Amino acid sequence: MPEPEVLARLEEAKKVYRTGDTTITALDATTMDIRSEELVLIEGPSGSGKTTLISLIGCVIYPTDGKVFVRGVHTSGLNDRELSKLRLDNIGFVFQNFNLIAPFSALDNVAFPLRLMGKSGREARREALAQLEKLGLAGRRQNRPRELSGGQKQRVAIARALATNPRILLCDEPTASLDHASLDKIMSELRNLSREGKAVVVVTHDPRLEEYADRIVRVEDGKIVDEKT
Amino acid sequence: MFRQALQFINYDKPKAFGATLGVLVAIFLIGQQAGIFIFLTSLMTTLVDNSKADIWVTNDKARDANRLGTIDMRYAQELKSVPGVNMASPLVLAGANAKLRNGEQLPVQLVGVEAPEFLLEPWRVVKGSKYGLLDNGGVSVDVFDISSMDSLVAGEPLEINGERSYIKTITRGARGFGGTLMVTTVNRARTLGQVPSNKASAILLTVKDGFSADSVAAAVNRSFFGIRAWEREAFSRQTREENLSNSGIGTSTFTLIIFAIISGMVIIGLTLYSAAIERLNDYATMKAIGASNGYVTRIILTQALLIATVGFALAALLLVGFRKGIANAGVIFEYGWMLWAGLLLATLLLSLGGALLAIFRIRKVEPASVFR
Ligand SMILES: Nc1ncnc2c1ncn2[C@@H]1O[C@H](COP(=O)(O)OP(=O)(O)OP(=O)(O)O)[C@@H](O)[C@H]1O
Ligand SMILES: [Mg+2]
Repeated sequence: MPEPEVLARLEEAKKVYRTGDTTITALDATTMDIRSEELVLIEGPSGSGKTTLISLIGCVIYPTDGKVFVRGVHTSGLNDRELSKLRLDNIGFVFQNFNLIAPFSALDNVAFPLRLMGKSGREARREALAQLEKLGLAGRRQNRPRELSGGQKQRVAIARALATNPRILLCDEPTASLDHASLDKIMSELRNLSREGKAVVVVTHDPRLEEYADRIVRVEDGKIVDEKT
Repeated sequence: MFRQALQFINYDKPKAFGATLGVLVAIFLIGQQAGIFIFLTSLMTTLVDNSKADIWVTNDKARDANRLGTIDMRYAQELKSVPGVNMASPLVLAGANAKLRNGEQLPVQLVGVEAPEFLLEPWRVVKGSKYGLLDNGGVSVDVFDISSMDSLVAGEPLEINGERSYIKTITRGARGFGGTLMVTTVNRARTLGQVPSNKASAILLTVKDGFSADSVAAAVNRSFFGIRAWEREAFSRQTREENLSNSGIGTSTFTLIIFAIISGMVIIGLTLYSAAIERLNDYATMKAIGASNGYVTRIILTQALLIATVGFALAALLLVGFRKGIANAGVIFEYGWMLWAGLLLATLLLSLGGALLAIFRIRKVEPASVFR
């Protein structure tokens, strides 16, 4: 097993939102490394900046200040196309509200990033089906998101994030709609994935998840206030 | 791409239906207007286009085959001596009033042609033949120009300017621009239309093998004063331009087509835009996952093109039906490949132009909006 490597890095990264004449510092200057073979848990109260933190790591938003590196690439200098490609190749995202693409079936949702990577439709759907099978959802592959329960949507979202086999997996509250059995199944799987060399970042309110974590980062009011290993 | 676009269309069928209807209506209207326009312009030049003359010689002030003025008959003889001229035969156009046996009255344009040359003979003949015109009082009539067409039989008498005449030749779809055409002999056209015997409306020429119509026309124009020789195509073009610039048919057709394109584009634009707005979150998700702006642009374009294809196909079907239906009422024209190409171009313009608004909006959406 190779040494853990730094897959993403925030350097004094800060995110400020301006709405009218109020400014909200969603995340204060933060420095943080995301390493392979590690499952990091990000905890904190609502509105503390958890989603902002992983959005910065996931290059979905740009920092107001500071730098973001993904696999050693400084992201500020990239154009839309390059940044999209960087996300597609390196990052799997499980969004807080699933964000499944409504017109697509469960299968096509999972196949979508594979298509973006240039795989043929047939190949992409074959791999997507294998992914859905792992999460016990092969039977619902033809259903559109609105025909799925919350937990099923969540699992489709996880399948989609895993489909491209990304090195960095960012999960925003991935277990909120899951019962204990499915939670354990998914968290064990995420842990295994980190053991295989991925960096897994999980945002949660749920203390049940702590037992699966290698590192727990506590965010409050836009600042990292505590880190436990 | 195709599959994804189809799924978006499928997900919001009412909007896809609306946009398709927008294309359909706009393209059908354009095709319909263009068809009528083609028909009318073909009527303008129908006398010239259906003549067998290589050259039309007219009064030098004439710019329109439907309003020729007069030319002196002595030119008919003199033109025969121009090198390259084969036949020279007078044409007499004269307005008259016809009264059918059933009492129906109609204004007609008498077209007097000389036998045996028949450099302008009745075309689209369905009953009788041009030789019937040589019989005493013989004229041709088009079935579409009289309301009692079913009862029409060859040999039926009618009155033209009070003189007894006979329908000897029946055509179907040989119609004039100004009114009903009735072809007859030069002499009878003169008598009925009170045209002096030393006058004609035009002298029609054919050229001998080995001579070009252009050069013979040029030779005529060089050696005669007060008349003008037109190569047939040139006179047809001149007649069309004259009528288009004087009648407003061109402008009104053009305006209608522009309006159809604009309103179609607005309908399609708004429909695609509101469809895109409703799916904003999906497009943002696609971007957050790793789709570039180019990719989401192509998804919208593919949807627009799919809608355009269906709309165009349906409009084309309707237009073919329209052409058939209206031909049965005597409005006969053909859609050439140029028109179809033009309609296809208009469809592309409509759908791609209509997609622009949606594309601008989608390109602006930030992937971060998936968190809201
Ligand atoms: N696009 C935005 N515009 C303005 N303010 C924003 C925006 N996104 C986030 N914020 C603000 O930034 C702060 C941090 O938000 P963030 O979404 O990171 O919180 P969170 O920890 O994920 O909360 P939750 O647990 O409720 O998901 C909040 O006060 C939020 O209102
Ligand atoms: Mg959040």
